[in-house]
Amino acid sequence: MRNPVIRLQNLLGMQGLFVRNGASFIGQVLYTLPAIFKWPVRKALLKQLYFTGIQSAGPVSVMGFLAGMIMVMQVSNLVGRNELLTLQVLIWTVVRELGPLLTAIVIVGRSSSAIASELAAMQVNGEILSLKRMGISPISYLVMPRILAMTITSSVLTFYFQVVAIGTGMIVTAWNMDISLLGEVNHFFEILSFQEIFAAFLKSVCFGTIVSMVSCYYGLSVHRAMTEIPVAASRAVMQSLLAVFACDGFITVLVFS
Amino acid sequence: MSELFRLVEVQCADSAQAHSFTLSCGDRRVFELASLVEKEAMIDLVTGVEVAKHGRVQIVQGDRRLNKNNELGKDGERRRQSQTIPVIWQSLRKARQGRVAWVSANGGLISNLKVWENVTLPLWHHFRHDEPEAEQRIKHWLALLGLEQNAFADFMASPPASLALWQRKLAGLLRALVQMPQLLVIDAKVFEGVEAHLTEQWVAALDIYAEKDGAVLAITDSLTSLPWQKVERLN
Repeated sequence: MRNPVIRLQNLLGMQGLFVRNGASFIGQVLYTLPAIFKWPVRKALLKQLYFTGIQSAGPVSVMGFLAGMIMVMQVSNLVGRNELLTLQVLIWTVVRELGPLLTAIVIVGRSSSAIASELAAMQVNGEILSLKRMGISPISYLVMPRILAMTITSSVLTFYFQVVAIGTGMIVTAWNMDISLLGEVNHFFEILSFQEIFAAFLKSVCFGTIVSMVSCYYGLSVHRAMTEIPVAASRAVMQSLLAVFACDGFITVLVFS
Repeated sequence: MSELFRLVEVQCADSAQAHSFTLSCGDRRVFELASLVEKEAMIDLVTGVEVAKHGRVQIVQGDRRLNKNNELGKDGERRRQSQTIPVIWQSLRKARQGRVAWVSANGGLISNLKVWENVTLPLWHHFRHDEPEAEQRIKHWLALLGLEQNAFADFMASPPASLALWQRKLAGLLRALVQMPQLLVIDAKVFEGVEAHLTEQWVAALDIYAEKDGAVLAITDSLTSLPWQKVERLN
């Protein structure tokens, strides 16, 4: 009987090779996780948290504010003066879908191409080989901190996006319909369920992990030609987006069907 | 002199020739290979990146590494141990962390790190994080490598892209020396295109390092003017 991983790879064709390499990549990252206690790896993690997290907070705030305002305007136009339904639609959309998805899109736009091109340039310049010859695993020093940072950042930024979008939506609703903001906050906690919070958290964690894995994978897959760098960056962005949407569909079906 | 490192019947790349030699404390050797491909393959073998398909690459296991911090002198140099260290050979691949250092022809610096971060990267990755000790070691070796004390701060804060080629080579050499490895593997091309007085200082610094319980192996695929003996092949 043949190895089930090989069987799955054959079944999936070209995508199967990506799945097999991806699985091996995940294994290597998990194996190098204890390296996080080493000072240079911790420092690399902090740099990535700053780059992916702190520097993305601005665009995420703007998108959250606009998404909340647009959502409330559109729903109010559709359902009229019904603040409870407006709030319900806002929560369903922002918590279940828009929050994790738009945050992932911001991260893909800002960090995916940056990570892929940075790693690809290091590969082309022989810096990855230099690390290996110094006895430093590129997976533990370059890949693992990026994956960890992006996973943490994705969940924190998703929560931040949701707070900004829902907060803006509530303020706009309270202003438009002349109702109490405190009453809306009370309704919010009544409407919100554990299932929604769990789905949003699961999505944000999975999106962060997937985007960083795909970016690092394409960044490290180049060989020695400079022309491979932009190709790796664009592939990383496209494959990250596809993987995020596929994962979103899978989790939505899993949790809400 | 105690043995540190050995290659036993190792074949690299597509070469039919097998290499065997042993390096002891204080050895400085030049290892000439026939082609660039063979040289790169040999560097991968002696730095532990690849495992030899034929033969063995081994390093001595001893108390040397565990006592490293206690053996540091006031200038950051390692002191000789008086007691005899038992010789136990182990595969380099399993035991290389911090025991073999590498100097690339262009310094091999990581472009998104400043020189200070580059120099301390393998030291803090393989051993504990101790800034005063690292600074002491770096100042000690920098003085020996020919960089003036007043240029220290600027040099350390520079990104690799802003350095001249000889400065990048110097940083690569410094990075390897501050680790105080058992074996320092160096691409002999490091010394090409560098002013003669600097080459002399670098060679002298490597001699001092080797005399303190280490060995230097310069690998080349062409003629070199390095004053060290060539590797004596046993086969």
